[in-house]
Amino acid sequence: MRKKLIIVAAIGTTALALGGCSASGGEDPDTIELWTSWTEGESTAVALEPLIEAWAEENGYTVNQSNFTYDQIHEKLIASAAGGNLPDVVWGLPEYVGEFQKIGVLADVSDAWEAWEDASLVSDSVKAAMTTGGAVVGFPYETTVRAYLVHDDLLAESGVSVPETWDDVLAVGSTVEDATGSSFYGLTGAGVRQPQELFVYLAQKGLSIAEEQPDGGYANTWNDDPEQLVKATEVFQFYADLMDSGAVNPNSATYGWEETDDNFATGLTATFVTGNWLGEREASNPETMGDVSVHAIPYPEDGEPATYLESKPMFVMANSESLEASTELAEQFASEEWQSAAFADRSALSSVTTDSKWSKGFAELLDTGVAYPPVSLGEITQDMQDALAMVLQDGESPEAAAMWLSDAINEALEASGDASGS
Amino acid sequence: MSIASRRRTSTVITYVLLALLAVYTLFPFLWMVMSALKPANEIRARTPSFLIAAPTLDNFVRVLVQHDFLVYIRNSLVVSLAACALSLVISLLAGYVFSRNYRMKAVQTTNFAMLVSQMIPGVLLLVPLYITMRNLGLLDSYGALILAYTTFVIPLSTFMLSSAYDSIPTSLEEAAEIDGASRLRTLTSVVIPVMVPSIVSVGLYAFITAWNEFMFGYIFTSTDALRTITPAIMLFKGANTVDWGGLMAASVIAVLPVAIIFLFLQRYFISGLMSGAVKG
Repeated sequence: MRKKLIIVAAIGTTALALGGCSASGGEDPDTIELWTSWTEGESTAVALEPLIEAWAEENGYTVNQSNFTYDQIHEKLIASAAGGNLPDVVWGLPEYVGEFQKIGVLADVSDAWEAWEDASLVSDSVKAAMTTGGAVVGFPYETTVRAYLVHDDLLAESGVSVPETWDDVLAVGSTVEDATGSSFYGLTGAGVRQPQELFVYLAQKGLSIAEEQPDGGYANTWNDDPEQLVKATEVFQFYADLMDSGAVNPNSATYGWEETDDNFATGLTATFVTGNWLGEREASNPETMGDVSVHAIPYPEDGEPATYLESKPMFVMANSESLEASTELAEQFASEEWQSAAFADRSALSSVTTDSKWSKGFAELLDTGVAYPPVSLGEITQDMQDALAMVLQDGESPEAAAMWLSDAINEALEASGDASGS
Repeated sequence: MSIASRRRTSTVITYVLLALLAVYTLFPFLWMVMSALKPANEIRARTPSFLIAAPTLDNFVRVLVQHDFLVYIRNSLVVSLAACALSLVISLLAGYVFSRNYRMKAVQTTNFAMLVSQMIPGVLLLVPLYITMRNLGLLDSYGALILAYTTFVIPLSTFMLSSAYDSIPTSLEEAAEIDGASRLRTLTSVVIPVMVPSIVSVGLYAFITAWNEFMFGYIFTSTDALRTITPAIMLFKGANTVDWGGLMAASVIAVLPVAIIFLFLQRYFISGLMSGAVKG
């Protein structure tokens, strides 16, 4: 009897384990697998869900939409590409363009772009951000730039005017903090936002982290060109001077965007380079967000205005069984109707905008936007964080950090196969 | 100083140290619970406070109603319980063999292989495992997660149970054998009942490991209907904003089942961990 019980228990356990097993649906040409990264329950999701449903119904497709964080999407795409089990349409980040193009999973949507009726409403810089190796690989579903946000009341209280250049920023020093208790200038020392910030300051000096070479490969040329090395050194020197002048909170060296955004929204920082998503904080922090104005990011006097252009590409996967329909769905996300409904304040289309400062103030800076080069960025962005840590945390010289970063970027380009000659 | 007052001083110092340790340990959990009960404007206040001016259950309601967390909890329970049961069955049998036949070459080799497997980080096996699951047709199913979680906990579970078997004298089994019991009967009727604390302890380990697992949870499944709780919690952290209220409420909900199970089984857990620790 007991023996029977054991056998039944063993079978039961196995049945329980395998009970939920079923093969994934996979390659049904009438089903489109869509991976997104919106915040569930928020306005973007609320606006897009019915639009996707209506599109699917109208075109006779089933759209299986699943939501993940961008990190999860990145890792899932790598695993799925290796397993030959990719979805059809994916929300991507600009950082993914080079990497996924290199492993050959992105569909070339150049023809669809040419035929796209709203293409003329998109700036060249946004189109360039969607392009790699001469092919357009995505439609811009969300586009923002960074701007310099200022708490006007805090600056007025300190008798400081909005700085336009790096020298203006450094000249303020600790004046604002002495008068108000709030740090003057925000700085991101760690995390994903730090390389974007550093990238802007380098661009303002006319530098690129990786320049395209005649053979189509990429290289960092700072160590080969004394003039470029001087400029890169000056960028790291600017960071060091920000610390030394008392303009920034010394703890910023380890702050990620979670801390820096929060510090600005609560008025702990008087000015900060960030994105228009902070407009959302007007609701939760009305007493400190009411005085915010939008400006161009301070730039060096011997440089030029520049900002980070983050145009997120909607990828279509090259192996999609429903390539045409998937491309059409991706295009829909970038269309005037869908952009107006879900991305009114962060659209690449010149016709889609709102009257708020969070839309217009940022849109005015689009022309100065610069995007990452289309190379695998994972290791490079980590190197950028490490280089800044050398200056802000280890006390190494700006020149040493610039030289190290140049070598590190070239090593990363070699490793990823993006280097010139590889 | 008299012996009594010395003892009293020692007791006071012990309790003060234990109290400090308790505060240190409990603070993150307390902060998590307090944050879950705060409205957004209090979470995002310039000066954080332990006190809540306007306590609210909105975060919990939002998490449970709008974000389908009941489904995610169900999914986590199914895969964790199944992985726990499956790994216990396998580890109980494997542990017995490891303990009683440790001189066999095959056992020693398997023991070594299991030990080595513990040194390989899961992330390195991500792609091979993904391809394996795809070939088995298990992607987007509970089966992929159950199989992965079971595989990862079996080595340590087997070692723990093998150690527990070691503490049970073989004379007990010989007595059962003399009474005519088969090897399996001896195992199920004589040995395993003595090992309940160890089994509970290993079961808890297997359950908690599966419950807390994050990476395979979103790599092997791509539909909301199969999402487990740990990857679901991450959805409150957006690319540029964090819904701290939702994140904290979801974390409280995720911790509760484990805390409750642990509360009821902790005495078994401790004695299970101790079994085999001291051999006499």
